[in-house]
Amino acid sequence: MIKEQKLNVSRWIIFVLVALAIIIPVLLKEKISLPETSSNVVRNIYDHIDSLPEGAPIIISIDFDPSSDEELRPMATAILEHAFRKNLRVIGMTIWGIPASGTLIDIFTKGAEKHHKQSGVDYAILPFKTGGGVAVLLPMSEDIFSVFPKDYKDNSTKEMAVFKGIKSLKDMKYAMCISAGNAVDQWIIFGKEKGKMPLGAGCTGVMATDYYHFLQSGQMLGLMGGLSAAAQYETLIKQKGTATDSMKPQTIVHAVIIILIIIGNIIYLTKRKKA
Amino acid sequence: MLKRQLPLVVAFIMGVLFIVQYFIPHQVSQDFLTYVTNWIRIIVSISLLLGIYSLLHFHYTSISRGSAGWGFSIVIFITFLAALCAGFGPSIINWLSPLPQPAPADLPWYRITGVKEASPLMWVFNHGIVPFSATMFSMIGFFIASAAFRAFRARSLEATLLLLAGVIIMLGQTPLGGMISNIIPDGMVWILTIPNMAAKRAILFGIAMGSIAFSLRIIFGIERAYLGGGKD
Repeated sequence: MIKEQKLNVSRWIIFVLVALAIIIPVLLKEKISLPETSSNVVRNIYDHIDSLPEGAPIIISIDFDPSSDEELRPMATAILEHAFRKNLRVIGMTIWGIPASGTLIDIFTKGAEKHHKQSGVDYAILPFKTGGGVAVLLPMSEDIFSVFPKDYKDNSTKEMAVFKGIKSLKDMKYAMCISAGNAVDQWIIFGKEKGKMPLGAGCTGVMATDYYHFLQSGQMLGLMGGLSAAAQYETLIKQKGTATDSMKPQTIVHAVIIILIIIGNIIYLTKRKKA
Repeated sequence: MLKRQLPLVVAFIMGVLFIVQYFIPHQVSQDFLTYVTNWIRIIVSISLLLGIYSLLHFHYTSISRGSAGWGFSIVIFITFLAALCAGFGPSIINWLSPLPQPAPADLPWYRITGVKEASPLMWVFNHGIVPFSATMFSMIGFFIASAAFRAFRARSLEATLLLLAGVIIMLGQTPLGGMISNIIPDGMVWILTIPNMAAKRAILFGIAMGSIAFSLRIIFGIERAYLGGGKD
């Protein structure tokens, strides 16, 4: 009973500590500055997009829902910002479902508004279709228009300037999948395998470890894992946004968790010695 | 015969056709792929109805049997009906209304999600699903901190190695690691690209080999569990 009470007290102390580690850096974000870094796996994506000529077509797949929005939206926003700055033709799509569709349209319309881009000319948003990799990405590697004859506004995709010279994924100069689930795997298996276009991926921090072997095999050219990668990309495009700000509480929380682990182990080792 | 043999024949023919199609870059092959993937999309859409039936049946059983947590099953029914009313309600009201309605194609949200931007369903999405999902995901951080304090202990050599790797990755994921020492971010990259990658690749090979073997068993009719337990 006493042990249980102690456990509950320690749990609540930890919750309060974590809450403070988030709230204080959010309130004092202007006063906290962190060093700017960029890893090779993130820089590879930046370098590839930066090397593309004006008007080159790229495709961005927004495959996350509101639960991962805070972690992945900054990544998608930064990539789109870079693409629009470079005047690339950008196709937006999702294989993740209706909730991701809302996020897709929101990110694209906001980015397009900022850069005065025109739908159907500079960018296009494709509607959600069920079937994931097998029924959407695989046929797209042969013929995009067979899967998406119309965009989300019901306009014929074949007649759009943004699709000029494009028939399939093979004509894309880059594909980027930003996902909170298995969409990256589907892009590798069904999109990249036949499409052969360069592929990059963005995912949540905990998922990043799953994709490193695809970098070494050359199936992906870059990988963005979690907020830290989004912050790195914001540094590369010289536009500090929500990821850079969010890294401050994340850094403090990581430090708090590590301190808690150390304290927990000291208590454990002391007890073991006594026993 | 029809319940057992016909599905096996269909699985064999479609399995072989899909393997052959993959390696033939001809227009006929591409048209076949387009045609069949249209079927897949239709079947997946229909499976949504099965999903709804399965969900409601499960929770109905839970309530009728008074299983543990049956109160939550009532919440499922209430929220399901509320979302249903929010989605179909305006359309039914519009349909019954004698006044002319705006063309839905003019509204971008309608085309991509099938619902209007200012509709009750979008309100439920923006003010219900979005904050609830974000809250649920955010709470994980608190539980991870608590669990790390109580369970992340150096009980053995393996546990100590896991502990060290975890700490290095956590530090390396933030600028804090680089501020302490450059060894930490470099160590993080080494852990992710050498031991982690070796283990992940081995697991992936195992999964891939298993998937191929399982697919072949289905194509050749050896694996029949997907047919269900019914009699011929």
